[in-house]
Amino acid sequence: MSQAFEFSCPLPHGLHARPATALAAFCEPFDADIVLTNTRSGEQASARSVLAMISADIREGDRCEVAIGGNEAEAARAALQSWIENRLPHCDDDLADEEESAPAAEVPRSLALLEPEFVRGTGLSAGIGQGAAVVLSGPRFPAALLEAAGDSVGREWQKITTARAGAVRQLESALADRAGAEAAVLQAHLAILQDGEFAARLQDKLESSGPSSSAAKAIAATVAHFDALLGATGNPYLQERALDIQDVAQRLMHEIYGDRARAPLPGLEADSVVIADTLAPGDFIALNGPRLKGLVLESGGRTSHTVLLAKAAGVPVLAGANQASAFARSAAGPLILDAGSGLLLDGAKSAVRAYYRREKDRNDRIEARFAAFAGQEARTRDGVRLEVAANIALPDEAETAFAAGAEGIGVFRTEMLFVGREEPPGEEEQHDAYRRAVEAAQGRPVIIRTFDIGGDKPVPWLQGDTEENPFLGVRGARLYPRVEDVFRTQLRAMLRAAAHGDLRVMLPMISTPDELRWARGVYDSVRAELEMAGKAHAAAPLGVMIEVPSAVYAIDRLAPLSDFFSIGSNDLAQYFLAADRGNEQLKDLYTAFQPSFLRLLQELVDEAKSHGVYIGLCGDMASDERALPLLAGLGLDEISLTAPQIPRTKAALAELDSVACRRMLGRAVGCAYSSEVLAELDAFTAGQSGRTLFSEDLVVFAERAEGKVAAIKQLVDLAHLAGRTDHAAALEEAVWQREDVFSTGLGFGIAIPHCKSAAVRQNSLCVARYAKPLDWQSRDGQPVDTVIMLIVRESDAGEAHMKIFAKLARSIMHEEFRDGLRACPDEESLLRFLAEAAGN
Amino acid sequence: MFIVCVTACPTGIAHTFMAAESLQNHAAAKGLEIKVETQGSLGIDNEIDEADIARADGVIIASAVAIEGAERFEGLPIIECSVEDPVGEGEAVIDALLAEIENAG
Repeated sequence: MSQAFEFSCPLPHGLHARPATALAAFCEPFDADIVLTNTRSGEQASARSVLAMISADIREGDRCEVAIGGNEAEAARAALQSWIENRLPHCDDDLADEEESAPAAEVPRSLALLEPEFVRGTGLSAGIGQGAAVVLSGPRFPAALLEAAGDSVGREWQKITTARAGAVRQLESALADRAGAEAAVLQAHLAILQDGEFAARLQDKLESSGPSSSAAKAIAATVAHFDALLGATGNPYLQERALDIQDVAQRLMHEIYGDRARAPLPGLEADSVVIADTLAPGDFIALNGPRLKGLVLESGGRTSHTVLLAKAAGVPVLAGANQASAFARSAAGPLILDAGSGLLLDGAKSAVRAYYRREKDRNDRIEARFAAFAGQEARTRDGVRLEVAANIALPDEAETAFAAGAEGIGVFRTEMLFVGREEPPGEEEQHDAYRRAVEAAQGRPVIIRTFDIGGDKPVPWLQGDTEENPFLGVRGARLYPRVEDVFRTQLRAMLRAAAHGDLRVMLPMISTPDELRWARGVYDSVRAELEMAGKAHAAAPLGVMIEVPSAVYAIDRLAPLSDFFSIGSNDLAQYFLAADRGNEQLKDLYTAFQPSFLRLLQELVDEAKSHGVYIGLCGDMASDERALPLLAGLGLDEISLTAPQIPRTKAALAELDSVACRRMLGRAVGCAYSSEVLAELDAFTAGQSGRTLFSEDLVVFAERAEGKVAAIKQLVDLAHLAGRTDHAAALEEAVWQREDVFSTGLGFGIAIPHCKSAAVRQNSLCVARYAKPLDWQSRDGQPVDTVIMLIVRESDAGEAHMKIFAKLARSIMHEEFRDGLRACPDEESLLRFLAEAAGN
Repeated sequence: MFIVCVTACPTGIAHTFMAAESLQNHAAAKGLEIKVETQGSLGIDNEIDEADIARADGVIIASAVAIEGAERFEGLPIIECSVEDPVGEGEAVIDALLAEIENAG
């Protein structure tokens, strides 16, 4: 009896590889034929073929008919309909976690003036790189191979099927000892190799390629077929999937033809900026090295596997720059990639190269200042310790984390090992991953969190009852009793890895002491097993994530059973405020700066400390520099954040006094609104820095400036170097927004460019004196020799500094003041003069 | 002769105060009584109230943006100019108002 139902695709990015894979895996066990029809496009796809489904280009909102026949049609329909309603919408949840640099902004005035040639894209990791253009295009099947005639169709097909089997074996064995992002890539390739649609296409191409048909031609034609199909949709996700197919095709070619199969990658002889419309992950790995200065992916998007690998390797990446290869071919000079601004430029003009040399130089100097902190212990100004650790999801990230100055791993999220695959990971695979992380730590602590899945994260090997509200359902530690063997395997792998370093086990989602007691019981029994078996292992401390509010008021009972706590501030805030982190409409509600949430944290930490338990915090709050005074004020032992933030966090911590932070926390808890808290924190941090309105590093005497643009740029750069702003380009734009209204050249040879902007960290007064006056389009037509730039924080409200600015502004109207100012022969005297004028 | 003024500039940081200073200086030089209200990032300072308006002879609005409480000055001889005008030509602005007052009176 055939069944049917309809649904509307809920996924913002459409039914692409990841959800299609999950859907196919779900349909697998049923003895039924399941066919989807995209009513918008008319495309049909078997629910067992991932490729067919993604080729059907099912976009957000598309209505799809599902027709089900076969013996288990009824059961399949009921289960699938429920799965589509409850699980499908959450397939892409972890995509939202990826970070992106700020969207492409205005081209800075000082750069625009140089009239550079450029194309735009989306920067995926900040950084500037310069090098010769190296353009790669398409899959690299050697022409000779494609032209050669093949054997009989039968023999060529035999080559293909043998190659497929060989490739499948290779991938399966590679998967046994890979984890994380690499494993996910290989898994996707395996799925393609085993996909019915893919095989059908190969056969079809082989049979229809005429008399000189060959395996090579068939494979190339199949790739071209999917390229066209997926490329034509204009959907960046589908375009990226074409990359995976290219990789698989390359592998098949290699199986059949060995080394003849691949046209060699150009070796990078000199500093290079590589441009490709797509780049397979394996190729990126081959290209990566000190000569790779930047990568431009014409059609690649945020989630392509290549991008993930490039980000992890610290290579600046520009994506979605459609005309990049055409641009590169016609460029007269070396290419400059400015990922932070989303630009790919032609470095032909020496002025443009000089501009970027200065940009890079300045950025390097600033990074170096932070880097100096990387190797130091994290302490407040008054010497109080607050360990700064890193969050990781792959063992490969550990090395970079420690290089950035991580004092430990605060949470190693193990989900990447468990999701997107048919079976849970084996003990050896896990042991290898944990051991690698622990060895990279060289004695520093590595806290590994046991798997936190179920409920909202669909996992093929976990077929449970569907839940009405998975987020409040059986997830994290609640799941373990139902999959005890999986939990035991993970514990075994962890305890064995603990023999190689300081490994600590952390349990997620503990809501009651009972759950912890049970988990400890299993832990102890696993230890006993290992003892009896004589396997090398070590006792690892066992701790708990505090993320369910009920645990906050059970600290006294959890403490005797826990070696440490770590506050999962993301989930704790979500449950506490009853607000979904991903819900745009609740953006103002879901914030760690809610006074009530801060009170919760304060009570929690105080209670934990009264029981003498080590307590840390992981979660977005730890990476938010604004929250640092609160974290320091709480008296936490440790915070764990993303590795690139570590040096600057240590630097920021060194400016804070722990006692003042404790008082600040008290004030924050007493505020009525989160906006109040933020305004107080802003003022507090500025005050704590000890940096004043005027400063030696904000004054420059120079011979001349090219013009108004150059002078403003010089002052903005001064502010940037002095740490008064983190976003020089944004500050430059803010100053120009004011300057564009009407010239700030007052006459009397003085100009006062100024702005109020979110880009300003601290109110500052920057001064430049030029021996050769420059035109400022001033009222009186006279050139300017003294430029005073005033920059004010956006959230500043009637502070003492504003009164100083007002006073100085009034003083400028007095000839005596102006003459005195002009008479100052050097930076020191000018600084003193201004300070006095502002003083009384 | 008593004149009132309001100055307001785009960012409220500099020209507001410079214009105010200039008007105060030039008025003093001419022996005129003057009260200047500034609207800037310190908020409204030296606010002009009903009593002031009752005895004022004229008003200067030197602003790049719409000012708060513009209705207060209805009925008074008025000069409206940009906030930079008083900075460079304070005397000329005051003279313009004096002329306006004469014509009205």
